[in-house]
Amino acid sequence: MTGGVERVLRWVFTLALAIAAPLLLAGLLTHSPRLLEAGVLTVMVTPLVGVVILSVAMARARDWPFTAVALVVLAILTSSLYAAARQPPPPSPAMSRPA
Amino acid sequence: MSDASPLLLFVTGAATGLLGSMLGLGGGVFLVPLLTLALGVPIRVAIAASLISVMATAVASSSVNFDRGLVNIRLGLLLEVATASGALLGGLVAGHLTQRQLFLTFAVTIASMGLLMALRSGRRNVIADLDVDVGVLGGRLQEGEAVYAYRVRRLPIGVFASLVAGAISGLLGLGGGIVKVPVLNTFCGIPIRVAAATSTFMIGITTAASAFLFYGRGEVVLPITAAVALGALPGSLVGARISDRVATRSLKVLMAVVLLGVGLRMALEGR
Repeated sequence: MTGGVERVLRWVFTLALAIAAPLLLAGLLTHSPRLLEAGVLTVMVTPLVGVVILSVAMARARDWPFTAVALVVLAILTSSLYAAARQPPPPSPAMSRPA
Repeated sequence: MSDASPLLLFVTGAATGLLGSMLGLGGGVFLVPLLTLALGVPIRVAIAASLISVMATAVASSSVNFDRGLVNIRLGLLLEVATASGALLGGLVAGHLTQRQLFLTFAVTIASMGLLMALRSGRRNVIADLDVDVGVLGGRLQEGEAVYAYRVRRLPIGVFASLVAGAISGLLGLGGGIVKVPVLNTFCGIPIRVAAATSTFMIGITTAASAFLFYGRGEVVLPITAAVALGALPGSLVGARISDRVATRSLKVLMAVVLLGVGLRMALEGR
């Protein structure tokens, strides 16, 4: 693994927080659930994007064993997303994310 | 639902982020008890807020650690298979536990963490000979002007600890670093700074595995989560900067006592 992927991850992580923090702040100040949700979701998908980047970097380096490892981690995260999507809707829309 | 103001939640996030970062933790171990016991936030909502707050701080800290060359990405990815599986399982189980069961599980876990914190060793685990074969998972570490090598030993113990850490994370909204870092350092031969940085990188991924489930169940209360996560970001960054200047040993002993006390208080809450 070269320092290249670390630089890409650092850039992506920094960019994600630079997007999420103002969205969260604006959402709190304006009481906008949409802005809050956008900020929270930006934070939540950032690690997923990180694993996608690592999978591609490992494959490009022809490091097949660790490409497989990265893809397994990606599969676990994707199955979590799938399970989340199959959950029943929130009991009280007022307490959580907007419907 | 809690009546705590966003400002109070922000300060709570900042304080726990600061403390967690100074002690090499995500801060969830302090955040969940504070939100539930002091601010009256329901425990499921507190766990969900903690997961996303810990995720945000892990992402922020990792971006700094990548720059310092402290993250062992291969090792982190390999262990993450176990940790993310544990987190997914923990997140699914959390949906079936009662509030009382969650409080009791948290109480036992937090008290055990207090003991772990008091006992963690902080071994250096470095090899001065740079020609040594570090294997696929080992690496090199720069300390000042000097460069050292390290090898990974007893990997199955690290994998098991990662699975446990993941389950704790998914179930209780913690990062799980307090389990992984001492095991990786003491049993697997990883230098403490690499163990902490690699664990932090992993925590971002681990918390995502279970945060999606909490989000899907509608347990992510946006204003609470946003205020806490926003506070945790600057708190953890300041904590990381000043962690070298405080007497961490005495701080850890103090925190171990606090965790044992909070564990007892949460056990009483769950009775």
